Amino acid sequence: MFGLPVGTTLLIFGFPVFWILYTIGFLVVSKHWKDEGDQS
Amino acid sequence: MNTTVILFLVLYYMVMVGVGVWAMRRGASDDLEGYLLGGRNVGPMVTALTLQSTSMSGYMFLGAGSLAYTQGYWAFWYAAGDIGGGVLNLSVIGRRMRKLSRMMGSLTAIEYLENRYPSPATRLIAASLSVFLLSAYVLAQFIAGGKGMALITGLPYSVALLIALAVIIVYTFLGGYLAVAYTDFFQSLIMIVGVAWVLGAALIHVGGLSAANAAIAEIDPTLLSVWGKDLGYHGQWGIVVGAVLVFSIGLMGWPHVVTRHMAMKQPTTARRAGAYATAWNLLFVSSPYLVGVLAIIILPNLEDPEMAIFQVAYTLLPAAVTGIVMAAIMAAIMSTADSLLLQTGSIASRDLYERFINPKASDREMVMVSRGLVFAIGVAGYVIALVQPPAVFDVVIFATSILSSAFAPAFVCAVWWKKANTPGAIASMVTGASTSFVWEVGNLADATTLAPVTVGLLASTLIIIVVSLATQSISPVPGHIVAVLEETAKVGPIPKHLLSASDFALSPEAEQIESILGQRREER
Amino acid sequence: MTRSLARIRGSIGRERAEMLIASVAGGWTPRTEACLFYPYFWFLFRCSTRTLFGETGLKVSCLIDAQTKVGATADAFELEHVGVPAGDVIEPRLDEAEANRLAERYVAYVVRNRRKALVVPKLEVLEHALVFKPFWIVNCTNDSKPDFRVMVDGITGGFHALAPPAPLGSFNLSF
Repeated sequence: MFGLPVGTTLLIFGFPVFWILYTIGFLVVSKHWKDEGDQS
Repeated sequence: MNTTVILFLVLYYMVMVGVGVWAMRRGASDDLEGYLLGGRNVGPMVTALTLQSTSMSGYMFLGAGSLAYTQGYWAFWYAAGDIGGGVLNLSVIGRRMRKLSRMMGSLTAIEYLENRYPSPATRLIAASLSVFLLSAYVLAQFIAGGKGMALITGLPYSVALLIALAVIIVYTFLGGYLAVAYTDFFQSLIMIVGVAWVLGAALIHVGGLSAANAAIAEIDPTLLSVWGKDLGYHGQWGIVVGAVLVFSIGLMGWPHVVTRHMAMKQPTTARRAGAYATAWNLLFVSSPYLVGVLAIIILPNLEDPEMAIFQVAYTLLPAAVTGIVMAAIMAAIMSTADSLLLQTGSIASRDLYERFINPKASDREMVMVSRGLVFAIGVAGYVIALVQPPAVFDVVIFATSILSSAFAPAFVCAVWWKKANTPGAIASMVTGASTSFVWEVGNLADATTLAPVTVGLLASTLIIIVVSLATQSISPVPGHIVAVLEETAKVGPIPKHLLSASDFALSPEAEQIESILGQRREER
Repeated sequence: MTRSLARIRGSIGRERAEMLIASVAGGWTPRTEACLFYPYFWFLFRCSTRTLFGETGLKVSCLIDAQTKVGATADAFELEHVGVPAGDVIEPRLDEAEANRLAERYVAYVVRNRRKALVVPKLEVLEHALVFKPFWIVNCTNDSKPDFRVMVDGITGGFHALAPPAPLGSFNLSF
């Protein structure tokens, strides 16, 4: 892709994909986190 | 030098200062600080919204660019970790650290460490390490500021450096009109546009990414690989792991970063911040590395690789745009330097001077200590940056590797492992710091193909586990801390829903009321 | 015996406190046992710092917890002078002079944070008083489980569980 060797393509795109999935996972898992008390 | 560039740069600063003055005048006289009554205003030096300011710094513009320029796509190993550092940090320790710090009433990350791992030694070691390493990190900003200033004004480096330093120090002493929310936001906007513009212009100039890579292959195909120039890092997983670690897991050990968790207004801030962090990083972490790679073809004979990104901007952008963008970049670098100096000064005055030398220090005295240190760092920084300037990349990796090795296990275990005790933490900090320091200074990475942060983190993690377990009986973790970590032990059959919605800023009052109710019961 | 004091006016009354707890503790019956009055030393400062363009002034309202010495900045609030049962009042452990010193330190620190600069603000006390915040002590009962108590902040509605009282006669260690 873009004339890059496979390894490089994996490096450049693989990690971002991983972190996007991680972030989505985090948002899902933490859905129940509550705000404190009744502070406005 | 290009007068249009300078004109727009000056114009930019005048507008920023103007906005700042206006904002200050507007908000000035009858301002009652808005924090909730009784809520603990645990406000560390950096507010929770400065996501951008520390990423837009000397490392980004000089360090990342130079690495990519000299080693090609190898540099992306550093981006790999960096992209996720923010969300990792927030998801793993953000909320828990906020809660624990409120319950212990800690105001700074260093105080937090001493509260969690009670001992004067904790504070002394953590504070000393932080002051030393953050000073090194600031040095990188000085160099970046000086070189940027030299490029813009055409003045010799020694003079430009002095100007940059003077501006930074005056800014730190008097505060900024540039330190107002409006200007921060506006500045970030300009940076976003600027970085995107530079990247876009670079890609267009080289005819697209595929064409660029083909051209790079003509020059040196190894630059396209993941092993660096001449495949120099081929198979060196210890270095690769280090590159990924230092800005991801290692980030959890940087006191000036984790301190932000303590300032979160609500636990749910961590979720939003995590999402923003990833979105932001996806766009902006990779950009400087990519621009650096493209610079290989755009500016093939650069004398100073650190100037890769600046030079690409100068070459490709219209002069007016260059002026504005460079102004925003310089402001960001100075703002990062200012932030770091404030924190370093604060650690020195609170966590060292007041804690160990003069507990009855007045506020004025403590500010004098802070200012003294900032000035000293400025002078030392000037001399070093002039006489034997290290590469920005090198000095940032030096500082962050040791910070990561020394503190990451301590901060992580503080909230995740209730057996992590004081001897364990102290041993971990000392081991992590010394191992990575020796590895750095002795250049052992070359011989062992293990990066300093890889070795340092491994060592400090191992040590905190081994020593904590070994000393559990002679130095157990204080009961009230265990209770917080377990969330249930102290208080019995409390519904989980109630516990999770509790206001932990009320913990100090709660303890008092508990003991008073206990006394009243006895009196009956 | 009644004690007269300056109470911070709050919107959370007895019923509201019980409702708040009921909403997070399903299956439990909350009942307000008492209202305790927690002491703070309040100071209203005018802070001025010198800048390149003259002096800027800022008013900061600061509360020093009169038991734990912890400082906090505060929103505007109203005070009402009331008489309450003396037994419900928690007396301060600090004297005003020390509270003043702590308040000045804390406010200077906050101002420095805001300004992001190493400035020494000039502080002038505009007003000061010993004020009290009401805390509702709510006891929760349930058929099958042991009781527990929660305290509810009468101003913010924030709540915090209270540890069960130690057995009579035992030595109570608190940090």
